[in-house]
Amino acid sequence: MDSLLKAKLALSAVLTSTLLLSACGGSSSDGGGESSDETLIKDVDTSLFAISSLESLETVECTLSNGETSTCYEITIKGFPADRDEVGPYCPETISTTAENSGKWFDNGILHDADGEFISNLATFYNDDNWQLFDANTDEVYVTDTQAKCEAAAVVDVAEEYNNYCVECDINYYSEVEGEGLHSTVLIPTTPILSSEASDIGAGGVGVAFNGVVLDAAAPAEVILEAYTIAAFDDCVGHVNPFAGYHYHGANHGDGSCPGVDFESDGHAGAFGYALDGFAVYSMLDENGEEEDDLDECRGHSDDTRGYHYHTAGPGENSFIGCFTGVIVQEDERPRP
Amino acid sequence: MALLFISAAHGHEGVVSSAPFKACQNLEKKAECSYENDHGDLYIGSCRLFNTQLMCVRSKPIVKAESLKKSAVK
Repeated sequence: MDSLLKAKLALSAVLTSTLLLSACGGSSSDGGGESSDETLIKDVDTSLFAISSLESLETVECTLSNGETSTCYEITIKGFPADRDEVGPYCPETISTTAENSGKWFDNGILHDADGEFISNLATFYNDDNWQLFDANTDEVYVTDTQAKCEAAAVVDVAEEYNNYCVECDINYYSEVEGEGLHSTVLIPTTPILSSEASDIGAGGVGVAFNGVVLDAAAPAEVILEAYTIAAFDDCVGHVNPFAGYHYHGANHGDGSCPGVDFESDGHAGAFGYALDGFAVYSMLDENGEEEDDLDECRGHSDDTRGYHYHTAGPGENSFIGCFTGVIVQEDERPRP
Repeated sequence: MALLFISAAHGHEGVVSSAPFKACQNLEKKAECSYENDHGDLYIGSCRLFNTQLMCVRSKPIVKAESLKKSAVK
């Protein structure tokens, strides 16, 4: 039995138990049912967010996708990771640039160093001679190094003149304040509610990291590759676009210049953010380098300590989780990216 | 497992790669899917919708190429 089903059955048992107790005149504070509920559902803990990452954090009334009125945290982030002094690098300057001074690119589940050698080898890598991201005379990589170039290339419909470019945008294009990026707002239920059916991840993204960076939906890798572009990431699998500012497409904590996430005291993977349904998102591996083997289709499961929670996919998999097990804010109330 | 191995999407076969997307071509949402990385490791999960595109999201631990070879020998 998968953990989602187990979670739903347990929740169902709690609800049934509560209804029976009510029907029989029993007290709703009578132990068993509620404690089971508490093992599955944990309130969102806003103290986990880095204070410096937040523009504001308020509790507001919201309507959830199941039609219920509830309370949500309205979290506005400053768009710059609170645990770092700088973001990038993304594209290598030349085909000799080392991995240390370059970013990353993912393909088929693997996060590669997008260094000069990788860029020079793309025609072989993709088995297509049309790839030519560098000037063969100067060895310089074609990089979208101005705001105009970034905005012409970091879109779904890439301008043809930017085919064969390594695409990057500077975080400072979208903020006049040093140490900040594009501000954005997310709404998360203060207490998550399991949904009767998992829901899809849409344009609103996946969630938000405790360091104030948006966890975005899957990057449209096929569209990017069809234009013979690479939308290079930094070591944290983050990059900038004009719509979302600096955002993540994967979790790569502890690699290169990307800060790590501490394991929990019992050796379980550490949490680094919340999904939009209010369930916490943990790293992929525990302290022994092992991955959970009972994840559901959304990449979630439950245990007695953490309740229901997600584990992110690998850094090269272009995803964190597969879907939302809990209800999210109703579509017409979601902040627009 | 043998069937999965045969039906798994492979990257780098043409202009566009991105095996997680290719693995869900012609499949429905929630269908089981799999793909291999460049090392032959197997990623097994289900097709999930991101905006309008189906993509294979892994839910099982990665099956290393080494253990696949051992299974095939047995």
